[in-house]
Amino acid sequence: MRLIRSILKGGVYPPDGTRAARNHPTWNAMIPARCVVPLLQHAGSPARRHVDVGQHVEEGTVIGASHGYESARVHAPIPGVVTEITRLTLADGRESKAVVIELDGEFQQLGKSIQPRAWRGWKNSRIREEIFHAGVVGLGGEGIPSHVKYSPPENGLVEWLIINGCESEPYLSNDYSLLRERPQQIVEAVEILSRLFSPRRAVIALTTHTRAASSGLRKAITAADARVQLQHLDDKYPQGDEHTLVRAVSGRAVRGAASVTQAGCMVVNVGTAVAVYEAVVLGKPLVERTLTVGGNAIARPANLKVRIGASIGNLIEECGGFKHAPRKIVIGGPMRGHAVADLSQPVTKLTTGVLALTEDELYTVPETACVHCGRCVRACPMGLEPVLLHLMIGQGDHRAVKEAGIFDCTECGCCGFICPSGIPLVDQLKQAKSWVRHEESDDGE
Amino acid sequence: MTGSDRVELDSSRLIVAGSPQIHDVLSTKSLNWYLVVAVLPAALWGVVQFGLPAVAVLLTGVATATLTEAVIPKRVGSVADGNAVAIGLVMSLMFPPEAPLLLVAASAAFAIVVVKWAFGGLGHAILNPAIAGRVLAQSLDPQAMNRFSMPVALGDRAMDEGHTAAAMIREMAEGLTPLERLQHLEYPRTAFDETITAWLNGSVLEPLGIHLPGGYIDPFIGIAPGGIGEVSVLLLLVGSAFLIGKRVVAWHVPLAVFIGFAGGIAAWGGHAFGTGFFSGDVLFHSLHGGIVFLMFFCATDNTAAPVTPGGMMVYGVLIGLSAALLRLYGLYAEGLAVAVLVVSFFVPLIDYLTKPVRFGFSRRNGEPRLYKPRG
Repeated sequence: MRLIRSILKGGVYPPDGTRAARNHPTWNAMIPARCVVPLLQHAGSPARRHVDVGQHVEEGTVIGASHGYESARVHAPIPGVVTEITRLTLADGRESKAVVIELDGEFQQLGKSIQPRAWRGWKNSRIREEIFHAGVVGLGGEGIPSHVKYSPPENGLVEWLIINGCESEPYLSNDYSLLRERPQQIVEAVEILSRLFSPRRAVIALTTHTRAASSGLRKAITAADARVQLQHLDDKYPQGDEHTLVRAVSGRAVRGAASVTQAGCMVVNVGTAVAVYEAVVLGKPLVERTLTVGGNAIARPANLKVRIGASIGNLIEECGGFKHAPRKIVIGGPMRGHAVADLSQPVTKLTTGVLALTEDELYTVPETACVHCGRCVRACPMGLEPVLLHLMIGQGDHRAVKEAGIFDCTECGCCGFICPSGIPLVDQLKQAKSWVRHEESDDGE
Repeated sequence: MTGSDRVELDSSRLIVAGSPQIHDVLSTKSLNWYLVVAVLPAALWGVVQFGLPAVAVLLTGVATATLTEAVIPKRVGSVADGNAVAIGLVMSLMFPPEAPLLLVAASAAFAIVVVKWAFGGLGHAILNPAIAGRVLAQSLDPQAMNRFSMPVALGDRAMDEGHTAAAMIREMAEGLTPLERLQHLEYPRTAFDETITAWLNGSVLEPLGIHLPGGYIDPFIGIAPGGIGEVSVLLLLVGSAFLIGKRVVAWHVPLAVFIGFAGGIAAWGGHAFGTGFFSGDVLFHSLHGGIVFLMFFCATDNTAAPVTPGGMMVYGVLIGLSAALLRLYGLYAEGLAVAVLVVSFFVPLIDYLTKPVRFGFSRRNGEPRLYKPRG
């Protein structure tokens, strides 16, 4: 299919000139001598600590056990000695315990070629088990543990399997680098996932930005004789969001508060697909991921393959440090990511990028009163009216706020990006969600 | 890694804020200044055509608005956001070139003090201050506000009544089209108009089977009596192309105003002059009397307009229709801006009735969509 489809409603076109990293090959970041591995690297409850201080771990030793319904295993990214168990505040504001490992001993897996395993003879339960054992979570940033997400949906079958190659945010090109460099692995992951879900159609969704990878993918599809199609989409943000992606590919729209599985769709990020491949075919736990180091302040923007637990300061160093003074250090993308002031923050499974942004890129706008321009209404991909929610929140009317659809808000950031009055709409909406929940529980009593 | 242009990190300068971490290039400040820039070509044309009186009116309007903004207690400093300059400029561009300066100053002060700040300042006004100022002037001194001088380009062939073409044609009650009426009144026309019309007809239009009568080119270029900034349709279109290109103005409202106005004129434009329904001259009324200025620079004012795209369309069509009816049946043919003021009162209702369909909800019954699993 060569038809270009797009977000039908809302969305914005953020600047994108800084995807300087996209055309350079991905390189392996230096192995850090010290890793800080948080036990909470996914949506849900933290993993339970499985090692003690002083204990020696191998590369891939389980250091955190999946604990509770939505949780995932955490593995040691490097061989070494556990020197400390600390607490830290993650970039997204959550508190987590972290295991500190000092490099020591030999790598068992690094640099050695692994014989692919014959997964085709396995049962589905075995495949799910391998995914669980490897600690795979959604690497697009949402971080839902994959074994939870891939459990049979309660209300029916998966009709569409959609591999999300849309790049979740501007500035990032880590998905593109995987699409370009590892098409065979992605296609094999599609086959694995197709085995799990037996979808009617499997689609790899690309945008105008990632479509340069399509010839390699097409070759890989032909070589593997896989039943998967490519779908080209417009590059409007947030095309890579599950809801807008499902709408563009399948024509089905479910409200933001509901899961897209209700529309019979399963969306898997490209990075996650590669992790699934490594888990099932190679038996490798998730101890490294690909991320983008970018922004105008970075001397040599690049896509790096990085061990979990490495500090973002080291990555910036490896990309040549700063060539301009940064005003914001962002973990994640510019639309949803979190600004940090601390370069010792570790890379987690959820780190899609590390950006150092200069003053010129920010376009900080002083906050003024709302001028009712309606830009947020036109930008909201969920069809909400952020201006109205903003007013209702100001009036303290939590029922009206809920009625106006606050829980359909996916926090994509379009309204805050476009607001000429510089109102921190996304912050307000995020806070209002917990406020409405709190007020509701009071109402209930 | 040893490049000499390396910059060390200064953590004290790092901003930690919630997402999104980047922002669009437009701010309330740039919206206002872009608006000012966009009306400048038409304003300069007005100054060239109408001379020093026009300069005095513009300066008085802008200066009064800016000074008033500057002395509003505790609000000093908001002048830099350009809102007062934009209000003063847009308002005085709708004034006749020889309007009494005291009237201009009073209207500008009224716009800033009462219409903008008494309601709470930027973003809180329920009416467009510039238009409210223009309408106040109209009611304070209707005669002065409807006496228009002739542009330089029409030379000494000026009509003594000081009426615009749109106003003049209302004074005869026979079944003639607007252009025939102007001819009857010996309304002046430049040689330039005739040359261009002849060229257009000869090389472009007649092969297509259309014949353009003379008299449309003058008002398109801006050779006509009217409000200082309203006369040059061409330069107004240039300015609005800039505004839409810079995303300062969304296309919804201008398009809708035009649809409403063109529809109204087409339907009633002939009836008002005794030539029956559906024989109105849309082109004539679009080129004369400031409707182009109105649709791009007045109706698009953010504060008074609806926030939903559907609402903007409704709002625009209502403004266009009211403007058409005012033009044909109202007391004065000029000063159509009052249409915007009237429709502004319906904005809360329009916003309420045109809520966008939420993503994943059915347009028909407003319920969330459900997909039944198919086996």
